[in-house]
Amino acid sequence: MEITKSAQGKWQVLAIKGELDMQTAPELEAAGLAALESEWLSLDLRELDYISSAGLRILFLLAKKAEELGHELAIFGAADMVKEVLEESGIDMFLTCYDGLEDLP
Amino acid sequence: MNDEPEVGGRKFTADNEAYAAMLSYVLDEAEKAGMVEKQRRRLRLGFEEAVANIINYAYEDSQEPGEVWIAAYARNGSFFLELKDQGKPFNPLRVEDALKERPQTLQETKIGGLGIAFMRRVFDDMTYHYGAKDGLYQNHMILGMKITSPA
Repeated sequence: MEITKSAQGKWQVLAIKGELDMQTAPELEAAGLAALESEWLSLDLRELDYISSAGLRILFLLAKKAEELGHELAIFGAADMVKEVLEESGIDMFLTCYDGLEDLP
Repeated sequence: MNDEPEVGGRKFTADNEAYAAMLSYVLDEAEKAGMVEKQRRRLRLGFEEAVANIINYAYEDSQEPGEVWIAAYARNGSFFLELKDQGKPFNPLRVEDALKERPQTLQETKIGGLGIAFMRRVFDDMTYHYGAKDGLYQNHMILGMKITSPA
């Protein structure tokens, strides 16, 4: 998994490429929590090919942290298997989902 | 006496360092069995959830690293994963389905149990047995999914 950081207005964007599984999830946890401390966070999932419950656990955790801090967490670009798993888990109901980077407010 | 068909299988140390080798074995066997990539991703999800329980919990009370035996094979149009470990007994089939009732708020969403909920959705068939085999007590799980033909 590779995480690339960028900024878009008030959002910090973390682009996640590859596979978010039990081995790579801690890396996203650290990067996501650090970003949320100071800014709104958007996760770019366009190049994420795989996610397991370990990855979902981090999304839950980041969403709860954002709620506590009064910040926003958004995702965009989930497709195929990743989209299916997000929908199956029901977490998509609690995340703000955008179609693309250009749609972030 | 052993009247079960030979399924091969490999033993791994039940730890995170061995996970990549376990996964590679399972996915290679799935590819050889003709499973398409989309379905291999679902298989990967189910396998990760199953083996994560063994890596993280089966041997948590023991001082020595334990082992997991994994067999991956196709039979009668389905693909099977068998996992055996000698850790503490754990029957995932007795865990309540975490996705049966959807939470209404993020705060009431339970994160635990999601892995087993995914196993239930990935595999068509799950069996679990705990008992003595060859003089050793072990957890034995058999997970099966029908192989989808390429479109």
